[in-house]
Amino acid sequence: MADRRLVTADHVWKRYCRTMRRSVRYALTDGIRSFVGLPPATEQLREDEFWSLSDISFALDRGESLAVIGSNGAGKSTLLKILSGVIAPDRGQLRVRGRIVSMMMAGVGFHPVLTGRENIHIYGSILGLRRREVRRLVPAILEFADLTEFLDTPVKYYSTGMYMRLAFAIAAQSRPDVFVIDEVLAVGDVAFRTKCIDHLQAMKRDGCALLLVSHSAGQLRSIADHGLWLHRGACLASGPIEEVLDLYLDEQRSGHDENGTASPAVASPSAPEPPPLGPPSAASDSVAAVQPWAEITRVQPPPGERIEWTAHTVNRVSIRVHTKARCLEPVLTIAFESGGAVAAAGTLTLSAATFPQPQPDRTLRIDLDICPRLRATDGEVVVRLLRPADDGTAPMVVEERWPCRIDGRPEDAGAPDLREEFGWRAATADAPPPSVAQHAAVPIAVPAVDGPRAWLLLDDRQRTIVRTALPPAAGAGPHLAGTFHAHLPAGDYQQAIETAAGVVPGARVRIQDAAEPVGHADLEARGDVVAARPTEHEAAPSDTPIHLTDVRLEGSTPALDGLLGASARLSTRLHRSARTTTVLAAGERCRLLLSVRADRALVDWDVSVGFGHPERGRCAGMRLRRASILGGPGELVVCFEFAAHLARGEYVVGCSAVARDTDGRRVEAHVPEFASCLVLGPHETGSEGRLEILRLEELPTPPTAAPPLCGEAADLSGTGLRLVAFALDGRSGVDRTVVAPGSASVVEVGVVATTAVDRPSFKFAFVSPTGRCVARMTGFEAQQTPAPLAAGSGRTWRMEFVPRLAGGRYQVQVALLDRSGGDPVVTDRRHQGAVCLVPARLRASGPGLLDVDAVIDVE
Amino acid sequence: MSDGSQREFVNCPNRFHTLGWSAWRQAGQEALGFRDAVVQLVWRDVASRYRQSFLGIGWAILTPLALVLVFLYLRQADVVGGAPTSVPYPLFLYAGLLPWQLFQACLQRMTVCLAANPVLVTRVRFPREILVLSAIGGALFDFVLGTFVLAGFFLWYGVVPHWTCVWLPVLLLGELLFAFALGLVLSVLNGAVRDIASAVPLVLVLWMFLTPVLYPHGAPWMDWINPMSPFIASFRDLTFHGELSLPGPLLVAALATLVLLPVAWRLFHVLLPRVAEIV
Repeated sequence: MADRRLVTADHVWKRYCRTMRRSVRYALTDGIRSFVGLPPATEQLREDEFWSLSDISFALDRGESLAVIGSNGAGKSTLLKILSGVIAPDRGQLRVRGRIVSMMMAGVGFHPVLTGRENIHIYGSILGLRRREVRRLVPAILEFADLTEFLDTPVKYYSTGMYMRLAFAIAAQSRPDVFVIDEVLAVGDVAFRTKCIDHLQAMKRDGCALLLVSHSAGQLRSIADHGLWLHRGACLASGPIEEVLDLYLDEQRSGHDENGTASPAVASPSAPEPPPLGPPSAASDSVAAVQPWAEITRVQPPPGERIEWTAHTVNRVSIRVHTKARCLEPVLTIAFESGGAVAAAGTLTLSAATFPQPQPDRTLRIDLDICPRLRATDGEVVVRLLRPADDGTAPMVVEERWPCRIDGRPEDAGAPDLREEFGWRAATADAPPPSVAQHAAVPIAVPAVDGPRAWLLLDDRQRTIVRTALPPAAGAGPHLAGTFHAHLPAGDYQQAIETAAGVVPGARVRIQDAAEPVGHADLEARGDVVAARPTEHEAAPSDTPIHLTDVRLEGSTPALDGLLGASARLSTRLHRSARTTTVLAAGERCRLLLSVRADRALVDWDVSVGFGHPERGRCAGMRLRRASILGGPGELVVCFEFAAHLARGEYVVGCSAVARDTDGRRVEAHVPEFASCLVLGPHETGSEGRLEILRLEELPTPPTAAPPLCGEAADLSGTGLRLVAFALDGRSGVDRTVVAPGSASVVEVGVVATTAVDRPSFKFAFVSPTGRCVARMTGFEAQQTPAPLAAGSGRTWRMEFVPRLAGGRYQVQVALLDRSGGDPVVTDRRHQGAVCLVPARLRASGPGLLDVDAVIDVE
Repeated sequence: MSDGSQREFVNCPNRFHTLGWSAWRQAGQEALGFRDAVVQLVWRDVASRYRQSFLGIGWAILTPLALVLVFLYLRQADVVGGAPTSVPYPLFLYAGLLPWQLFQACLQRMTVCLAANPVLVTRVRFPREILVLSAIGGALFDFVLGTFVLAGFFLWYGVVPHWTCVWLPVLLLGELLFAFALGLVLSVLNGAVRDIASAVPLVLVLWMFLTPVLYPHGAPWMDWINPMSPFIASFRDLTFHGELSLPGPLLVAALATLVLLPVAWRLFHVLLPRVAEIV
């Protein structure tokens, strides 16, 4: 209930400056700006600044206690100071209801010359107590501190322990609503500490919220309910105190965290520096040899086996890594190296927020679905797992590499690369720089020169980013034209042509971040006819001999099923019919199935699909031509597989089919607005997930063949709804379900009612390894009315939804609700209804690209 | 739980960014709620100052007396001259030194009050104005002791104070408000840069010579730009003559105080959270 909430921290950020002089300057300039009503000069880090707190959120109710743990310099005291209201956050806000009292180790401001009694009065008044309240509390304070006989002794004659006892007694007896204790319980003798802990327990029972900082795990276990682990200002873990403490202590023991104290210099706390990408140096090899923190135990394909991949197809490699030491936020790198150079490389930090962190003596399972977007070439696929080193020493690496051959695009097998990407067409060199989205097709525009040797792409500092040698025959034409794909960082570029005489500049092009909708997009499509069924179709005399009957747009490729093996299976894809919106993630692999019905035999098919922007018109398309695909009248399904490299936005999908009948007459069908799709930018599937309900069905009985329920059932009232089955995509309990982000999944909730329930409902949540709920959903909202359940009856709710989650491992928690009495009452709850793995999407780039979906889990 | 349980405190960036009335009222209410703390802190200040000394509060009297003796000598030796005064010079001098010493002590104590209590500034949230206010309280305590000495001077010289001296508290209130406004600015700035604490005594010495403390009247233009001039002169006027010699400058000084006070308070609140990071 809302009125029990005492403390709410909402995305609190705080920056600090490392040097005195600058911090004074920043404080004064910010202060003066604020004084005259201006916002701060910048919200970003300035020179010498670092984030002392980054994005901290938590809430604390009456009677709850939260322990903030972390090594020195982790930001604990900063958090407490913001909580106390002494300093202000730079972003976010912190709300505290009621009176807050802070006790901090550095002292409480007693005046040494004055007596205990006088200091009680002074300190009490500063804590906001009225004079007569203090007078009333003095006996209790003295009794608690056990200092009655020293009441009129100057405080400077007190021992440290007596001093802190008095301070604690005043603060504790002042009956605050929120009590903040920073490292105070470390002093005092055992008896007093026990007394303090008992008193704190009593305060909790009276409805006081406690916030503790202590390095004593025992004390924290006995007082705190929740834990919040800070590391360099970032929240590494939060949840039940036992779990957070275990994680923290493990980490401390492994010694990895020790450097945090020495260098609060790391600006970005959650992202360790990406490791160098080239082939590993001998030094790091030797480090790994001396101190292996993990070893690779099983590899598929077998180590060293030569693998052959076709460009633009998805291929799987799996490795199992046995860890010997705990490792915080390891980094996975994937690279394709060819001839000593890196053709494509990318990294993925397995952040603690979404991935289970490797513990000692565990097996880390890493399954990678790699889609190479490379020219035909020979090289090596290299997968490395790095344990980041904070102190600047080389990271410790385990790696696996396979020799690999990439074939070019399957349609163009055997054809020279260049013909696919480059053609000969007139070009204008002086066109203004057009803006195109990342990954879009850009027309080649270079002036006509004699004897061109290579086409170049230069960046804004005139460095060559791409050099493509032209075959000698290419020099025959007057102009070089065609398209290239802007698989490049956003920025300004210029095309150029290299000749024997030198480099001649061509058209400029501005590549924009794909988040901005712009006119062009490249779908990287290939098409095929997957089914052609001759039917006994009456040749109806009609002006339109062919009909476009259906279009289905599917996120991701179910054809992967065979490749993935039994251990992991992509869930069934979302498919939606015409005129409903399909949601795709930018760059997501999709399939579009177009059904065409013909009433006569047709040849020379030309089927095309276009994606149009409501304002900018057609911006991407796919086309398939087949000379003969249908013998007689019937229905065929044309399948386009493509990667939706579309800018963020809403698109209208239009289709057309053109063919000739046996008499050579042209027949065609066009549906300009067949379906619509919504493309979400990759950042929308960020760490905070979203769930979109597509459909919710009520089935009258519980499923007969329910998967077994796993996990401890919470011991609740026992009346009302009981959970008898829960499954995510048909799996439950500890079984892992792989859910591609942005594709539909199904949860099935089977319940029986022990007593009649008028308004049943359920909710479920995706919880990250750190215990953070990243997405939650209630089955029936307050205004909806599900059918009531009679005593003894059962029901299955089947909900189709689209999880939009960052890559990682999530527990799916489920709870049943009874809303009959107004406020929902939880009648059953399962903390681990299912486990869901979301592949992390990683794009390794260089001259080429690898699209990688990584499924990572601890076995 | 306490009566404050319904009150919510929201800590967010730029809390005092707007000039909204509510922020002021909230700050005012908070300060009012801690009036007991002001008393306690004044007590702490006074008690801790005199507790471990033989003379104790005698020091509060001794200091101005010693100053009077020095200036008496200087005048007798014709080192400092000046126009003849309407009342005996020691009485005249002490009646000027007393309010000046009050102002000087206020300013000096207020300047260091935040930097001298880092624990209170960086650990506990309470209206920090009360630290500044309690610094005034400490100075006022000395002033009250000093008035007894002034009464002694009157008896010694057989001079009867004019009845207008009943207005002195109003005048002193104006002087203290002026000092409070300066103190708010100086204390928070001193939290950031300690130069302020070193500069203030120097400035005060110079300021004293520009103010008619030792002499009856300075240059007329100085009376207009130096708010302390009318405050000190009017203190004597109300005590001895019953007629204000500088009514115009006094009005200007009062208006300047009224303008300065809200500006200083705002600066104090805006800067304080940032200064608390570096104090």
